[in-house]
Parts: sequence; structure tokens; C-alpha cells
Amino acid sequence: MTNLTTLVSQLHGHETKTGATLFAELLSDTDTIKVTSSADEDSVIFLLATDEQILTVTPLFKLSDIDEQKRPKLFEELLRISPVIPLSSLAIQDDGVIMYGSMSVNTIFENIVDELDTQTDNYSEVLAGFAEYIN
Amino acid sequence: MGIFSSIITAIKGGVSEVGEGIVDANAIRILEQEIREADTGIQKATVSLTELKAKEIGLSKELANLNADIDDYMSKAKGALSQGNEGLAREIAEKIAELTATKEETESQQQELDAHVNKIHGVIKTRKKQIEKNRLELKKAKNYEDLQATRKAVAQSMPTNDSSAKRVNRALERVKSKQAEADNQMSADKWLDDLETGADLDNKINEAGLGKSNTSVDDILASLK
Repeated sequence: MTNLTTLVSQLHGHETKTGATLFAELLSDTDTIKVTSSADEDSVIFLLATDEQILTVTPLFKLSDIDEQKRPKLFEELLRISPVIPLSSLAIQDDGVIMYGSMSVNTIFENIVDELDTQTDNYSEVLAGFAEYIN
Repeated sequence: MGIFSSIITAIKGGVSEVGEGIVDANAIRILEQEIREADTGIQKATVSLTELKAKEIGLSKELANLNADIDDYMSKAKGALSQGNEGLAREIAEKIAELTATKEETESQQQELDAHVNKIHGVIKTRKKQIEKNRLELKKAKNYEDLQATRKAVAQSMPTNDSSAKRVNRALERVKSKQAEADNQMSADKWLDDLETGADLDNKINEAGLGKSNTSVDDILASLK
């Protein structure tokens, strides 16, 4: 079982291979770790550890804010673009479009950092890719 | 319906509210309990199987010994007969008969036990496969529950449209700036490459019009006239 308190202190202030600094905060009411990065001021990743896996979820935008007529095309693009994104996938959860990754709970710390770094790096490009639907 | 199928059906049915449990928490607990009990049952069955197998092996060895003894007495009986000692041969033959009766009984027990062991082994194998299927089913159910745990945190932080538009613009700027950096880097790399190969100097010579003259067809014809 992953110790979230330990993981938070390992992540907070950690410098990634790409030179970004991670900031981590434990949200005790949801038992998740909120991760931000110096590489992108807007990217927010929620990390959750369970018995089997570690999940990292980045909220992108609300579905209800997208014109209904544009949604079929949006959904198709979400599906087409998702496989292309390294280490993460795109999905709809409740009213939100999210980017998420998952790995074994037994994975090493460096892999968690890589996932966070990659997801942060992907964030702007993915969001920019759907700009026409949001603006 | 399997848990995974019921999750898919429920999602298609539009179940989406935070906190709504598609998967019956009780169903998961029961499945976990069943797997634990099945695991314990398999462990006990395996121990019993090993004990039975040990007995079967014991009987096989006994059988081998009986066969060896019977063979031995047979050759002794032949020996007694060749000596003309029919009385001894008869005694030995009685012994052989006794041993043969024991052998037949032992063989019957050994075969019955062997069949029993194989049957139990088959049942254990089948149960193990079922347990693994149940474990996979449980994994699917728990995966869904795990994802639900992120919903609250994500829902609380999901940006509104106003802020989405601003974030998107910032994202577009970042992408542009990344691309510009990449382009600048490529130019810098090319400059360094040219410098190292001397191509930089060749370029300067050519630009000054001092490069190799390109003799045209007209020039050649003119020189021949």
C-alpha cells in the first residue's frame, strides 16, 4: 500500500529529467495528491493510489461548456487523439474531459515522476488541440 | 451479468452522478470473501491431495516389492522342481499364491487411489481457474471504484468555461513559444554544423560571387568560334 505522505514529500520540490520542479500537496478530504509543475502554470494533476494502481488525472475542460452541436466532432477527435498521447489517455468522467494515466502500485518512484512530467508536458498541446471547441 | 458488463450497461444508461455506486459494494465484498474461502479450500485440498498421493506412491512401491518377491519365489519353485523336491516346490507355490492374492488386492487399491488422486487434481485445477476468473472480475470492479475516488477531487477543480478560454489561450501561447524555441534551436544547430564543416566559409565565398565559375553552353560555343 503506497504511503501518500511519503510520496508527497518525495514529489514536492523534486526536479524532473526535463528540468521542471514538481509541487505536491496532500488533499486529505479526497485522499489524493495535487501535483503542479514549474513547466506549466495551469496544469493540475490529481494522483491517487489504490491497492492495485496509481492513477494520475488532469482535468481539461467541462463538457457542458461545449456547444452541443460541436460535441459529436469533439468526441471523435478525443478518440482519435487519445492513442497518440504518450503515457496518457483522454476520457470523459461526469461532466469533465480528462487526461489520465495509470500504472502499477508497485512501480518505482522515477516512473511516477516520468508520468507526471509527461502529462504536464502534454497538457498545453492537448488543450490547444481542442481550442476551437472551447473558445 | 458479470460486474464489468453491468458497469458498462450502467454507464450507457447515463449513470454519472458523483457518489452513485454502479457496483454494489456488497457484491464486491461477497466476491472477495468467496475468493478468500476458495483460496483456503484449495490450500486444504492440495494438502489432502499430497497426502493421498503419498499413500498411492506407498502402494506402488509395495506392489513393486510384491512383484519382485513373486518373481523370486517363482525361480526358487523352479529350482526346487529341478531338484525333484516337489514338496518344497508345493510349499513355495502356496507362498506364491498368497503373495499373488495380496498383490491383486494392493493393485486394486492402488488403481482406485490413483484414479481418485487424478480426479481431485482435476477439480483443483478447475477451481483454481475459476478463482483466477473471479479475481479478474474483482479487479475490474475495483478499477471502476478506484476511478470514482478521483471524481470528487477532479469535479471540484474542473474549470468553468471562462477560465477554460483563458487557459486555452495561455496554452496556445505556450505551444507557439515551444515551437519558436525549437525553430531557434534548429537554426543554432545548423549554424554550429556549418561552422564545423567549413560550409559557413563556402557560403560567404559564394555570396561574394567568388565561387566556382559556371561555364555556360554559350561561353563554350563562343570560344569555339
